[in-house]
Amino acid sequence: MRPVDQASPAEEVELAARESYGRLLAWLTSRCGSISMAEDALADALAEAVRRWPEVGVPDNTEAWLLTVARRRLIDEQRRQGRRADAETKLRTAEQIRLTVSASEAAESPLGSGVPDRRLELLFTCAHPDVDPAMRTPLMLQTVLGLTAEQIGSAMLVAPKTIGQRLVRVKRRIARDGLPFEIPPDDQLPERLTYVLDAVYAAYGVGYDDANDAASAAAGLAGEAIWLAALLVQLLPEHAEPKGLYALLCLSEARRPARRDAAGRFVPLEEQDTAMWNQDLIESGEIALWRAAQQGQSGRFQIEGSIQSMHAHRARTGVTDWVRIGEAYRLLLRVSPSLGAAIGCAAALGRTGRTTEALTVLDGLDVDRVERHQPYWAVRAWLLASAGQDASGAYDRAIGLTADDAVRTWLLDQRTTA
Amino acid sequence: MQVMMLIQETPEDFADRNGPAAEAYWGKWMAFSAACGDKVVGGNILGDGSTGVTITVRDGERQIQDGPFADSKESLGGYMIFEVDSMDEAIELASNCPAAASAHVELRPTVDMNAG
Repeated sequence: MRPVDQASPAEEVELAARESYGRLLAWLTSRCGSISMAEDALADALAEAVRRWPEVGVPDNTEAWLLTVARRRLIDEQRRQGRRADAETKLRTAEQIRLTVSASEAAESPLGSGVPDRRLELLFTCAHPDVDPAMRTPLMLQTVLGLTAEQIGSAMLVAPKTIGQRLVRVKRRIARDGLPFEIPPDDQLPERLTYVLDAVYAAYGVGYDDANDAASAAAGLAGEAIWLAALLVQLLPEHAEPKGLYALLCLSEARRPARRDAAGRFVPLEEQDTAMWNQDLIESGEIALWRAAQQGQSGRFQIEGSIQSMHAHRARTGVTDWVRIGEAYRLLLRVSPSLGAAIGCAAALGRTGRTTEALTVLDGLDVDRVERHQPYWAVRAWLLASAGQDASGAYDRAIGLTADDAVRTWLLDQRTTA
Repeated sequence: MQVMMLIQETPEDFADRNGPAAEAYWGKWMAFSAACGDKVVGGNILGDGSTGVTITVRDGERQIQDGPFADSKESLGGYMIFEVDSMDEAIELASNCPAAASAHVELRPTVDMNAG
């Protein structure tokens, strides 16, 4: 037993849960084939830790301790289910479940904790094509990171009760349909990987523009998304796109401290003080991009990462190369067309004085898709104002679609001076 | 479905309505309600708490007091009624409400007395 001098047992439980949750849950799921059953067993183990650790002290290997308790719960539950002999239950029987970690599996474990890492399989299950795309991100956040329905709901603008019910339903469907808990075969892997990367990017994208307060739910999610991207880089070293995503997230996140001035006012990218950018994050992003480039597999996330890298260059050169950024956005539009790529392209064109062309790009977008999309209206308003046209309507739209008070105030000022 | 948004505002918000920041205050609200478009089917702006009266009747005893019932910092500044397909949609609209950033807003689905 370790002496409890730095952290309280309650904090130790939280720390162990934070570090081990996804790994333990993934392993338990791989054994019993049901995410919900694995979650219940792990929740029981964590509750037991909260009760026991203050009495007996924090165990040396918290992960092994939690695994032993969770495994016991899983066996009890299996026996209970077995007695019910429910023919409908597709769960494997207790005999089929190997509830001991074999020596070979223990050797696979990268951290030497004795628990083999099955998180990659779990990520692929969460982002399986048969899982509703809207539920992939929340499912990952809950299973791999152990976030609560309240945390997920706050970040994703859904009532916690609603997101909780949807998660229960999606997990039931995964069990019922017997969705595989495996790394897809090589021929399917690149496509399946894009679903996983998309879901991680969506976690980061939630509230990127709105929530700059580091304590807010959405900003907290940014950190979790970077963590997931780093995990994918580690678990799939042969693939370049996870590194592209990781670079994209690091380079975007690096600017967070500069997005507000000392008085809490919003500062747009081109006016940000580059001294406030997080150099460590920029460096991590640049290294990841460079490593990805060595692998000679181009892809959407590497292009997006390189665009952010071009923005980061201003810290060294003092200027932003909008021509090259515009070219990168055009390439991105060809490789992977999206609303964000089109708006980024229009913004870059506007910066090089090609306002009319930029407005043409925006006019080409589907009206229904942009109607409630704040960045579209903000860029449109700025372009109209630079062209000397009436921008007040577009500014109003952007202001009305903004949740962040600092951004709202900035847009109100822009409208007045336009 | 119809969902009512109860808008709580701070004393500063109420002061901004007629103060030097009035233009910014109303600008936010005009932009917000414009962005909600035809999802808004009703609503009103309310006078601040000091203009209200609270009435209670207990065991036949009637009490009439000036001001709001509870003395909290935030008070009801107005309401809006949304016609939406789901609570998710109402949450998305409400999260851009200026009062959500300064105080808070609460969403409640209305009960359809004619249903089933």
